[in-house]
Amino acid sequence: MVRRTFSATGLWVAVALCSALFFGHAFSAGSSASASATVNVAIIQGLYLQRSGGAYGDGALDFGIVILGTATINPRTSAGAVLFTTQGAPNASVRYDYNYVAPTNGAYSLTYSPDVVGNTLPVPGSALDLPSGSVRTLNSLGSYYVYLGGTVTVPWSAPSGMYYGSFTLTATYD
Amino acid sequence: MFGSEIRKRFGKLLLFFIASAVAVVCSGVSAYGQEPTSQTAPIRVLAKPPVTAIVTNSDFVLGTVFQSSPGVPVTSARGGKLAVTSIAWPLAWPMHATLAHMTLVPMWSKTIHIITASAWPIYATLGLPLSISDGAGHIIQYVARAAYNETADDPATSMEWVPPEGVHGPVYARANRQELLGSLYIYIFGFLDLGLVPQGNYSGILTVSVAYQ
Repeated sequence: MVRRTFSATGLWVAVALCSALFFGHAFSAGSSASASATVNVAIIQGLYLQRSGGAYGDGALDFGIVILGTATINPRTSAGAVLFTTQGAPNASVRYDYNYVAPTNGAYSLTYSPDVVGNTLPVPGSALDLPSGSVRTLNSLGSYYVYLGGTVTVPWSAPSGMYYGSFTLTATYD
Repeated sequence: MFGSEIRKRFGKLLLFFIASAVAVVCSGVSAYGQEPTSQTAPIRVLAKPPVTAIVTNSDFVLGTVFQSSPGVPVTSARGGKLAVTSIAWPLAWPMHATLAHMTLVPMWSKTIHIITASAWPIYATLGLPLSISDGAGHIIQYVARAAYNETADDPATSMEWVPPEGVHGPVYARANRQELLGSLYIYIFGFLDLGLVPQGNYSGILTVSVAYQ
């Protein structure tokens, strides 16, 4: 289990280490006494998310033309799914949170339901549901794969035109 | 001398602290990264309303069609409505004749109003030629032609619909780009190939298929 460590914590540890070394040296110069300190520092690899995939390969969830009713992008089977690749410390626990803004034309908003799944392998077909707030373990290479799809509904009352929304995925060491 | 030693040691201490702090901060930048980390994916949807076709007068009533004499085309005057409806039937039926043709005028009251989204062209296809049957296996071919108007329900300013692949092929037309809901008005006219068919009541269904391009 890798413990989370902030750089500020590391700074204080380093200061303590330096102090111990210095004063130990200073005291030894002035007398025969000596002192030692054991310092444990947990350094963890940075956590990164990379976005790719989508129908046009630009990492966007593009539903294309929707005449009426619902359009679905299945994250397990559709080539239009968006892929978020996590890179971090091997076997680290990572918490995933997400939020979204439903597609809107500025005056009218469509209904959008995200479908998010995750897998330690880059295999969407066997990915499991990933509700917001879930904690997952990165694989031995420090990777985890999140696939985004969803369903958008265009009702009769929706004016024609382009609608834009967004989906934000946040990864945090747990 | 003792004070000088203290200053030396304090100076070393200060340098050591500064160097350590710089090293730790630098290592923090390179090794720790930033957390949490986020990525935002855009969501895009192009919404279009469905295409609907409204036939304002669904029945094409051609009325009584007759042939004056074998091999002589009977042509109605353009400009009148259903010009063939009141013509009497002068000859015995069925006739021994080659195909007779009757030209029908554009039937202004038979308008197909297609409503689409604005700014997107559509394909419209007419189910032509239309086979009109008496239900007993006798068929009259209705070789229709069409005109269309993109801006108003006005046959006078309509344009003849010339399918790129002939009457049988798909017909391309654009919806009205001036309105929120595009409109396309289609007017039907054409010919009847009577052939050797018995007298009777013949009917058929003309279909119009429309879809976004």
